[in-house]
Amino acid sequence: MVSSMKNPLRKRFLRDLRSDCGKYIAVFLFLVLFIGIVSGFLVTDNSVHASYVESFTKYNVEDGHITFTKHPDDALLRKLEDANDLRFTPLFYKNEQLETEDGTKKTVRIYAPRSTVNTVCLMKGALPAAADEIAVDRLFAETNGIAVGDVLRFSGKAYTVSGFVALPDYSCLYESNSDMMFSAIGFGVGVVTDAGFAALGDAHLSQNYAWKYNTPYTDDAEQDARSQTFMDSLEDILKEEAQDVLQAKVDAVWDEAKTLAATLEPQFRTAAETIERKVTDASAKAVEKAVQSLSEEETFALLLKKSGMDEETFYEKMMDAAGLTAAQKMRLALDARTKGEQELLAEAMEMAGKSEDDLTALALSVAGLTQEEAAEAMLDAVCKKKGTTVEALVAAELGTTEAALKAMQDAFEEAQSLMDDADLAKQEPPKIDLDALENDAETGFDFSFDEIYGLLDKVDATKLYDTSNIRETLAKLRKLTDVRFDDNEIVGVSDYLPRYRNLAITFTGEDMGSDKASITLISYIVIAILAFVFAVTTSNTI
Amino acid sequence: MLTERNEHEVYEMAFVEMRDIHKAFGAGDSRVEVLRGIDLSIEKGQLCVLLGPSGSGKSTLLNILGGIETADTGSVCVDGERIADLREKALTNYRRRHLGYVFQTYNLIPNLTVRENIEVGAYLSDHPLDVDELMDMLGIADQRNKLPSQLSGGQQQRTSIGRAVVKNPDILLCDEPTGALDYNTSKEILKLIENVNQKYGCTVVMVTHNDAIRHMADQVFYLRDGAIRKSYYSEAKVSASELEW
Repeated sequence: MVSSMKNPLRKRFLRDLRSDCGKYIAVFLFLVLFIGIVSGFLVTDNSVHASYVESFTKYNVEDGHITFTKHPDDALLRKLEDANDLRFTPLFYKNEQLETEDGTKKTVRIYAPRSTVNTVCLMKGALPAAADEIAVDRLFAETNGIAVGDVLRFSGKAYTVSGFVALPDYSCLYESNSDMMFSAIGFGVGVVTDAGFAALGDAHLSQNYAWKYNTPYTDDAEQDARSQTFMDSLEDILKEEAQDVLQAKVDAVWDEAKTLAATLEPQFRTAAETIERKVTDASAKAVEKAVQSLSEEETFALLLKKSGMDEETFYEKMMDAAGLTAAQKMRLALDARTKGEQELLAEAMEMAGKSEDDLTALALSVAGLTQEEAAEAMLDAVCKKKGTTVEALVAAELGTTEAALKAMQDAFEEAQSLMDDADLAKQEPPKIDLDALENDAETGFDFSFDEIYGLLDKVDATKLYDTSNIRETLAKLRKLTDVRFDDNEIVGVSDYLPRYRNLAITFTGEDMGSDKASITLISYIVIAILAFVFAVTTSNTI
Repeated sequence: MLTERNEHEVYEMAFVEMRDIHKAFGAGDSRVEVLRGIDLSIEKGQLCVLLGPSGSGKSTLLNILGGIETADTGSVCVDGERIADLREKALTNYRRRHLGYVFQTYNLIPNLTVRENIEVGAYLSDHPLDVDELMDMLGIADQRNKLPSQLSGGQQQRTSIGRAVVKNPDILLCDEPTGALDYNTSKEILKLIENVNQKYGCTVVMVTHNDAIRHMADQVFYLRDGAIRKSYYSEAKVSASELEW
């Protein structure tokens, strides 16, 4: 190649530029404009993002917030603070409905003044100074056409707008973190004075607390780890607290139940004793009646049979037992030819100087039977004769049926073991363990009310005893043991939101990130289009 | 590189030797055999014409000789060098050193003047001819500063020939150089090519389907269906200016 010669192809470039200068100027201007727009956007985006990040420290933005269902006492808050190395700041709010002319629903979350955490940024006007003044979110005010000096009504109370503010924990107006999109039309935030806050009443009060960690975290991962620990300790501490409250309630119920049980016991005892006495009396009466119903002959025939002797021996023994002399016996032997056994016996008793009662006692001793055995045997004989049973006789005597009496007696036997188990005095109150508790049905009271009422029904059926006083006590006990726990009695959590998951705080930053991504994407697309245009327009010269 | 044996062959070989050249395009059903065993030799300094109808394989043969395409089988030797053995860079050098190419459609660079277009050829050569002298010879000295778009077809083809010849090539390959030109201009161009052949002694291989042109050739090859049907040395060669068609 000839080195002294310059490549003539080089001359094309300048000529190309000159001949197509219009095209190149257009492309150049377009590039300048485009680079200007993109870089301007990126610079703005970066500086806005920087001030957004800076606002976290400037306005001392919360690390998260938690809303309790009930006012937590200081001890509980201190316990949670110590367990997680953080500090709570009350950030109470009330979700109030803004009264609008056309009746559209607009919620304003009204906060008490903030002094330490999530401090207020005043955009226009002034912060509220009087009880009837309010400062509302700037964006909410603008989208709803609210001006400084306007009067807003909540729950019938009028507040004059003193100014527009921005709350650092609501850089995006998300009413709830689960909302798909935020709406500055239907939801806004506002700040009033302490007096103004109190004037709204407590109907819509939320026990909300913001927290800040005592030592700052470095990244989202650490924040997440801390949040997990916090949630765990929250669960533990609240459960412990609830357990104490519930246990106290159970203990109180237990004491009351014990008192009632102590009343119930003698009532049962009286009832049992009364019934037993009635049954015993009735039995005695039944026996007496049975004995009286038998004739003398029948009684003697029965005793003879029970003694197992023949008639002659029995009478002889009777006479021996009566202590007759030989001469008296001879006399009786002579009379025996003309008189019957009974007459002879009566004569013998007369000789021995014994009464008719003595005769019966004598006959019993000769037959070798006790009074009771004899009575029983006589009762049996009567039952057999009449074709009935002892129980039926007793029942008849008591004025009830045999079945009802039998059922009652069986029930009493069963009840004996039941009553032993249910002796509250010997038992400890049940221990509340929320971990083990599957549902609220199980409270530890082991009363078989149905069985007790069954027993009482059986007693009523016999009409032997008036159970109304026992029923009254039982009803009290049953009402007492039907323990119901109300959620209002224990402190719960209705909202828990660490900052990194709070869209109202993070969405702005993320949105800027996505804007940056889209402008970058657009610039890539434009670069590709430009490259294509160049490729097409220069292909004929290459 | 040449071996002992090759050197011996060189001694006997013609300037251009093509042996048993086969070339096919496509694969499977669409495979078309364009060249089916071409054997040809051309002596140095000859003006040689390849004739044949469209699709007979003339242009492909020219492209293989020009190192633009490679043969499937067979060998091509130019001045004793087997161009099938050459690597890409060596092949570029071969084209640059030995070849000048004239196309039917001129292929001039649109934003360079006539002179600059010719200078591009000169720039690529180790031993170029004098550009001004060549332009005088080609009759385009007056147009030296014009752009191709300002020229007629004949002037453009002259410039194209100038760009090919200024390199002082061993072989001038012309692919239908008069295909796009009218009768008179075609004759002028053919005359030029003849002049170049005679004045600079370069071997000319011209592809055409104009049968009349064979009369100006030293050597004529007839191609049909990828094979040489007839070849002969012209006994009574006539000047290009005397051609009629």
